[in-house]
Amino acid sequence: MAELASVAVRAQARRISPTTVRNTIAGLLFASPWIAGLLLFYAYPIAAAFYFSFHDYNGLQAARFVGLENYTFMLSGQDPVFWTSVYNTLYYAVVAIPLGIVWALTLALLLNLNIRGQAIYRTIYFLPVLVPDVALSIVWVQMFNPQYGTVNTLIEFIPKLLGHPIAGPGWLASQVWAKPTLVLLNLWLAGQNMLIYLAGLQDVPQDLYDAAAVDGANWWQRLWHVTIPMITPVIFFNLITSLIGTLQFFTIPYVLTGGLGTPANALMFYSMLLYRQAFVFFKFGVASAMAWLMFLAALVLTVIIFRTSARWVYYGGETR
Amino acid sequence: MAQIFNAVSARLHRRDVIGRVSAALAGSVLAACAPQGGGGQAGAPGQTGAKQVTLEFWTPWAPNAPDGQLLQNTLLPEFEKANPGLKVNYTQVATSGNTQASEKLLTAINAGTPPDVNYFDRFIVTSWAAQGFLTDISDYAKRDNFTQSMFLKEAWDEATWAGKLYATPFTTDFRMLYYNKAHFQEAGLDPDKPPRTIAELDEMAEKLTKRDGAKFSRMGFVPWAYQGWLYTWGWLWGGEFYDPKANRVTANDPKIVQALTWMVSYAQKYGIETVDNFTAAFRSQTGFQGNDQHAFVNGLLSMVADGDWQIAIFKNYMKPEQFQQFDVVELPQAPGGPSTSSWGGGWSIVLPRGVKNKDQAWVFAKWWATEGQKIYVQALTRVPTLLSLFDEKQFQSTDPRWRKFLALKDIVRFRPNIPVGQMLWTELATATDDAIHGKGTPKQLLDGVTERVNRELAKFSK
Repeated sequence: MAELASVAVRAQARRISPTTVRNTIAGLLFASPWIAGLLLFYAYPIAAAFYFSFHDYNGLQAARFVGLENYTFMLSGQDPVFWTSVYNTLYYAVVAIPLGIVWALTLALLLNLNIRGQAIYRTIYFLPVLVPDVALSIVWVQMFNPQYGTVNTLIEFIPKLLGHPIAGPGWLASQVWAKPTLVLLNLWLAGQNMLIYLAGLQDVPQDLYDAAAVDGANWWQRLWHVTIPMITPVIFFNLITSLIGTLQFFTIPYVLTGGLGTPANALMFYSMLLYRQAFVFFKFGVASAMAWLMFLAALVLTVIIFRTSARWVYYGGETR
Repeated sequence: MAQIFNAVSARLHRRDVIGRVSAALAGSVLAACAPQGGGGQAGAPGQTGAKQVTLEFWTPWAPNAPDGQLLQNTLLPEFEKANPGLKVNYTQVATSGNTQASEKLLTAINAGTPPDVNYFDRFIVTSWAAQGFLTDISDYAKRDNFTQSMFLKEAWDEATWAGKLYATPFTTDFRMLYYNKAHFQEAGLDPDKPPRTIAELDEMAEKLTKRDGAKFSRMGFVPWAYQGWLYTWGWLWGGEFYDPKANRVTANDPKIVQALTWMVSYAQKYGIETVDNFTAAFRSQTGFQGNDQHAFVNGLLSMVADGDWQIAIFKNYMKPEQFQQFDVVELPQAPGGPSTSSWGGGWSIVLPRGVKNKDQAWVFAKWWATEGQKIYVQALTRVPTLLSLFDEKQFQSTDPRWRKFLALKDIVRFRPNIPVGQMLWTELATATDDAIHGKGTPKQLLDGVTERVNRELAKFSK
């Protein structure tokens, strides 16, 4: 007991209670697997990529310092596919993200209605998310095959019956249709975001709707003036995560095109080019530089969105 | 308080025990993973006494494909019989789009855990050796009298970099024009008169093409289908991809530009969107499809540039009468080009860098290129690189059409043996795809390829 008292006195002298010390140590110990993972699998690769982005490095032999060469090599368009891949990625982000938000939100609103069998519908719309990307891509390729795929068979069926045969779009085989086809595929995968919206919708207080109803607001006014403002934090969250996800878009286009981005680089996304630089051309330095450029781009875009968020994201309790 | 402290110390103690136990377990697992034989000190197996070594072998061969079957049923048992004390454990490792190498191998080499031997596309041996990814086996070759004079010279050259040997050559493969005689008859063409010039090919291709509404139901010819690489046509036009004297890539050789321009003419004449839609029926994400999905088997293409290996495959997937209804002919003469040309690829065995059982791996690599090649060539009717196997008698009973390929042995070309060969291949494929889709003129695109690849090549010149 005397021991304990002296410990307490000493701790008090430093104004940290022994409980706090023990709790901190225990907390750190409990968190240590996560901390170790973070340092090993995130902090170290990020730092290593930063280091190698200034070096000529093939992954095995000693790295040779080359200054900013890897950055200028890409940015100056010495690999012309670089800007193509930037364009493809931005095109995809600009088209797929807003469409995805509207689509997922619409679905969530429908699935928030109080109708019979709602749990079944919710499950059905979430199911595609559970299919692994690789399997999904392979099914997609079959369905959208311009020659024998299900989609074109359906499109061509009626005109053929009427004696005016048409050819359906080339979908993934066409340089015009390839990216829109991917946008479609993205909509099919909206389940994840939909689920988050659904959770958000259920948090909108009923008394707001009641008040709006008393004031004579119709469904559109209730949606536009009550629902949407109340779930802007959720939209904001989904916007940021979708943005980061689309900038790193890799698995689906890689599997769809065997890593080639065909046709005519229409599906060559930024991460695929990064991967090609590293594993096909053995330019890990260039790939690291690309990774950092992407990181900076994602950072800048995120900061911009955060800045504008004050104007449209409503956290409740504020007066506008 | 004391209680809590005790509890914490008890926890610590328990963790310590868990730590010790898991360390011990890890130790025994590691020991189990370590090579059983003392790799490194043995000169050859059999001399090592009772110690057994298991070699890890990676190959893209699927276990159920003819080559994978031969591997399990004949090649590996024969090898193990001839080399007591050596066992081979094989793993199928898929190659990636357009490189024929595997990222898995590259990652394993970087991690210091490569397989002992790897079945490897020969034309990229130089590219990988120049990066330091492969083990130099020159000393073994010298010791065992494994020399260039035993092999087709170009195949041997492909296995070397800077005068050192990095691979043991396996078979090769040649390319010709396949044409469907039944289609010829149907289109009013003489089935015994295949095209002998590119102009004739273009004309016949048009006659053989059939439309169904806005689509094609059959095309006479698609230049970029199957083995219609820019290498195929560039050489046919008399172009050169590389100047060994200047050590410069010359992908923008005017003759190669002409060849690509000719390929683009098909995209323009038939409409690239419509052709893309049509070829999607036999094109997957990894390339043009083979076996029962092959456009020549399904009668979707009347003529196709393809390799000798298809004869055996077609035999498996065509009806007997259909199998008799096609023939092969040398690629037709291009304007200003040689009377014909063909090119050869082929595979090899490499020892990745950091290989554990180096001595034993060499025994496998050597056996594979000699005894193994003999078994393989005879069983699957493939073109050897081991000169002693080019014995007419050996191939007497084979399909006469296949023997036409074999006759190309003295004119066949091989891709440039340069440390940027893999990059050049990818760049040429991309340029072709861009050109036929109207993303730049052939000249512009090939100028770009030449400049980029030469910039990389310059880094290797001393």
